[in-house]
Order: sequence, then structure tokens, then C-alpha cells
Amino acid sequence: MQKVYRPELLAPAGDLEKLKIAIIYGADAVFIGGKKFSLRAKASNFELKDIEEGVIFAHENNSRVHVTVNVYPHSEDLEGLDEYLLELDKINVDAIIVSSPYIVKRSRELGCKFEIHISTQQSTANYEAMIFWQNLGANRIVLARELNLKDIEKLKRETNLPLEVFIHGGLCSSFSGRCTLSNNMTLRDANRGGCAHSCRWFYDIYEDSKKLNEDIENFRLGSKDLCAASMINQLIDLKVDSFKIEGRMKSLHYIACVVQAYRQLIDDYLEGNSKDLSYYLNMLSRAENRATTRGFLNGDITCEDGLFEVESEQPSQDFLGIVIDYDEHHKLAKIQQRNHFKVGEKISVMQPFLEDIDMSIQEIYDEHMNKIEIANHAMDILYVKTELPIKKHGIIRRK
Amino acid sequence: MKDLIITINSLDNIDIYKDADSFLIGNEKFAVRLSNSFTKQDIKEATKKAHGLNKNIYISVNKIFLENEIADLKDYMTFLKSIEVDGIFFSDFAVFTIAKDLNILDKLVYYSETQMVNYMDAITLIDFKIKGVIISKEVTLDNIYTFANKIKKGSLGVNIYGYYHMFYSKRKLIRNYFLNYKKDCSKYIFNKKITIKEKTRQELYPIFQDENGTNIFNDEILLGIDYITSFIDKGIEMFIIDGIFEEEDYMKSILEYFVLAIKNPGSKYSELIKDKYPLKKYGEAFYFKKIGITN
Repeated sequence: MQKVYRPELLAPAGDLEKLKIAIIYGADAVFIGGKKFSLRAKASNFELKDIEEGVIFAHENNSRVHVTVNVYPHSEDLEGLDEYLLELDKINVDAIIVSSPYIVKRSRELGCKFEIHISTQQSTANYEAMIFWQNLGANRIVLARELNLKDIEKLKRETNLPLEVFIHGGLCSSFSGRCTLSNNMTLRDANRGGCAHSCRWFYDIYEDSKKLNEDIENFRLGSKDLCAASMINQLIDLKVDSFKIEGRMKSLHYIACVVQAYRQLIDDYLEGNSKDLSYYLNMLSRAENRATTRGFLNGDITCEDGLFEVESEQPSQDFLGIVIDYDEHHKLAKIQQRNHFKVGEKISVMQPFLEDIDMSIQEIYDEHMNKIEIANHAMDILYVKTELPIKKHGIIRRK
Repeated sequence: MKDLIITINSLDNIDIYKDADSFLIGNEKFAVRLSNSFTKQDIKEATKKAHGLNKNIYISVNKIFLENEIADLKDYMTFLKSIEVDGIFFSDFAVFTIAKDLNILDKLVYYSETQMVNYMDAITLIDFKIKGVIISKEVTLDNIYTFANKIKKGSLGVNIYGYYHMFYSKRKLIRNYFLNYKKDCSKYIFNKKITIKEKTRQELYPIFQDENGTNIFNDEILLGIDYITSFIDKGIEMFIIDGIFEEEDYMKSILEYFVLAIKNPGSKYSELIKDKYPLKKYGEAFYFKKIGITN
């Protein structure tokens, strides 16, 4: 019997808490970095025991864990690779994401059972390159972010390898893996997790000694962030196998918002129940307020897609806390606080697979059940009175 | 066996750069960061001419290819096989698969300027019986020696001279920038005199946009001349002298210095070059710079 098509929603997770939230809010799989051989070195990458706990949690919840082993290791970095791959296999990670041909080959020589996904760091953009990776032992290709819908359609027709497509988050301005601005300008290795995001900096541009931007803003290389919400229906029609959200360094609030929005968007379309696009875009807009683009998915990149103006992004203080438990008898939600709030403030509670609930804060108690008016210590455990039941893992946001 | 490879601008360069062992050329439809684009007819003539002088023609096919470009790529590689070029320098593994089908894997040299940074990746590719690999420029001198010590088969190469590349994008960044401010940009495209400078730094990085996208280079010219004999002693064979952005007379002179350095090792040839060309900014790339994830 033919398997029913259902695309994977793949979310990033910088730590165990984010991993669990991503899965609870609807991710079919999460990708995480270990302490070794992983890009995004600044993300609080996982120790092996945390990866194991994450895998157990994911499998209990019908989800999967992909581990990034996606650096281009220098010769001196190779020590300990075999042991690390075998450990990952032993703790049953579902897949590793790899850039180095040797790591692909070595994983297979060692008999590791996990899938091998070729990282977008390889910028794979054609079927012939996929054949190389498939013959080497790869099970999936994370496509180059330079492809449009027609390109993806062609590749889906040609290959039997599952294809993964980025749908949301930061974009490299270069082909991935082909930029060493950071290496050259800051001695931080972009291909080993140290990218300094030099493409987002400000430049002057010259022809010989003549400055060309005297009367216009600085020259910029960077890209707006990807948001493919408006193209998900078309990508589903192409039967893309996995939709990837970028951002292992993003907050728990971001992960929950973005996963929930895309979960709903995908499920609604598959069920023939789509709402107006603005509904989903509004959900996404609560996560972050960076300028977005559809990137190459929409065709050639134009001036509309570049990051030319000074970013107006402000750190959001909307994420007030996460619900740890709800006591129905006393009508008290136990929460871990993130940003300050006070009695009387209007809030909205986002919950997995439920509509948001709007309410006002009526009473706040500290950990020892002393009544307080203002909650202003991040990570404190507090109790908030609410007549409406709130699910564990609910996210409280400023209205 | 030492193989001194130089990029060329024209067929005439083959006669002028008579001390080179090999010439690296390409066509802009299939390659980026070229000194000049050669038509198929040019490539055919270059091959004939080089072979007549007992020298090699290598073809740069280093673009990242979209699926709709593959049919043309197959035709092009079939053509390269038919005229018996001596090597094909690639970075997209589509080239590998096509070469395998054409039974010319032994012509391939893996040349990704950012991705060949460990010897096991080199061995993995050389085990497929390709001709060799070029080590990326982000590695230390020690790492280059490690490659040389570990690799027993195939041919190993390094960039030994030239502006080193640090950014390859499909985006037309110069065009998009000027269009965003409704400025005419036509004279800044295909223009090798354009540079960018980060606001807090002094370096002027060459930036070049063509039909394939945008490339950015370091402002320093890699000058590895003082190490070439030690590289040869350790078994490294291919040495790329990349003349992008440079004039013919200057490159002829640089090539002569390299030949001299190989014939009469011992002198500090880098100092001679620096004295002769004081306005140029030379460096040793990452030979002695350790890059990490923080600084």
C-alpha cells in the first residue's frame, strides 16, 4: 500500500527544553548540535546525555532527532570522530546532518544505523550531485537555498532520495559553505561554527578610489530572513519531504511560535481547511519582527530581498513565562517567569494545538505563595490565578 | 612531479608564460572567478597549442550547477573529453557523476576553495581514482604538511599565488544594491575595479559580479613562494598561480620568480617581490593564523 504523504516539519533546538517545546508544539523532528563537529557553536549545544534524553523524549512522542555533524573539520579536528559517531548511533539518533564526504563514508564503514542527511553546507542543487551522495551512503539531501519551485519540482521528479527544504529563518547571502568572510575578517571559522555574520555588516563601495555610496546608504551583502509561509501549499503539492525551520540559537518562544504556525499551516492545507494566509503570518509575526523574503523559492533575488536598511529589530519582551503545571482545584497556573509582568496586565496564552486564550492577570503568588503585584525576576517560579484551565507548556505572552 | 599551473587571459599567454607547466582556463557558463572566459573554440585551440609545447590544459568547471544547467554541462564535459584536456577542476559533485559516466574520473581535480580542509576528505575523493585535490586556503602550514604526509596516492595541490577568494553567491549583490537606491549600476557589473570596505576596517576587498553571481576576495595576495620548495619536498605537486585582477607583464614576472625559487631555493623570494612591487599587499593567508570558533 502506498504510504500517505505527510511532510515532516523539522525544527531547530538549541537545548533540551527547546527540543521538548518544539515537539510539543508540533514538530515531527528536531535538529540539534552536539558538542563536537557541529556548526552554530554559540548555540548551547548538547552533551551526549542530553542528546540521549532528547532522543528518548522524541521517540516517546513519535518524533525524530537529527544531529548536526556538519562542520568541515580541519585535519586536527578529526580525532574522536569514530567514537562520537558510534555514540550517536548507540543512543539511537535518527539521522546525522553532514557536509564532509569522509564523515558520510566513515559512518557507513562503522555500520551506523542512523540516516545520513547531506547538509545545505554542500549546496546540492542538481540530481547528478545527489547521485554522488547517494552512492556514498546518504539517505536525504538538504537542498541548496538557491533553488526555486521549478528547480525543486524537477529534482523531486528525478530522485528517489527524500528532499529537505528550508522554509523559515536566517539565510546565508552566499552559497552555504562557500563563504569565509568571517575567517578572513575575524579569524572565526564560518565552516566550523564561528560565523561572525560579516555579511550583515556595513560597507562602503568603491570603483578604484572613488566612493560610490556618497549619497546613498551603506553597501550591504546580507539577506532578509526567509519566510516561505506563502509557498507552503505549493511545496506540499510538490511533495517535498521535509520542511526545515532554521534557528538553533533562537529562543524557546520563537521555536514555539514558528512551529505552531507552520504545523497549523501544513495540517490545514492537507485537510483542505486553509485559513487566509494573514492568519498564519500573524502567528509568525509574534515570534520575531525581522524583515522577511521568500528567497530564491520565488525566483531570482532582487533588491526587495536584500538587507539594505538598518534593522529595526528590537528584542521582544512579549514572552512572559511558560506554564509548568496547572492546578485545577485551586485554579492556579504554575509558571516559570521570563519577562516582567504585573497584576492587571492583559495576556494571551499560546497552547499546543489549541487557540490562544486571552485574559487579564488577576493574582500573582511567589514560590512560597506570598501574594505579589509585580513579577520581575526572570526564571522565578510563580503562580498565576486563572479560572480558565491552561495546558502545561502553555506560553504566556503580553497581549 | 612539480606542476606549476597558471591562469591565463588569452591564448597568447601560453607563449608568454613559457615557464608554466600547465594553464588553467574556463568558460563563464561553467566556471566562476576566471581571469577571462574562453569559448569552446578557444579551449580547443589552447589545448592544441599547449600540447604542442608539451604542456597541460586544465579546465575550471567550478560553478555550482542548477538542474537546468546539467544538460549543457554534460555536453561541455563530453567536448572536454573529446579534445583531451588534461584536467578538470571542479567543486560541484555533479561534475564527478558526469565524469564517471564519461569514464574520465582520472581527469578530475577537486577544487573547492573553502571545503578541502582535512586529509581524510582528500583521501575519500582520491580513492575514487580522481587525479587529485587542491587544499583550501583556510588551512595552516602544519595542516598542509599533514595532508602531504598522509596522502600517498593521487596528486595534491595548493594555491601558491593570488587574491584569495572568500565569498561566492548566486545573488547579484552589486546590481541589487544600486537598484534599491534607483541608481544606474551597469558600469559596475563585470568590473574588476570594484572594492568594498567594511566601515571599521581599512581593507579594500575586490568584489566582482557577473552572470553567475557575486564573488569577493581578500585584499591580500597570497604569496607562498618561500614555501614552494618545502611543499615540493613533501610531495605536493600542483601549484596554482592565479592571476585574476592582474596584468600580463606582472604575472610573467611573478612566474619567473617562482621558477627561480624552485631552481635556486634558499633566498627569501617574497622579499624580492615585495621590494619590486611595493604597492601590492602580499600575505601568507592562513599559514600561520589559527582560526577557531571565537576570538
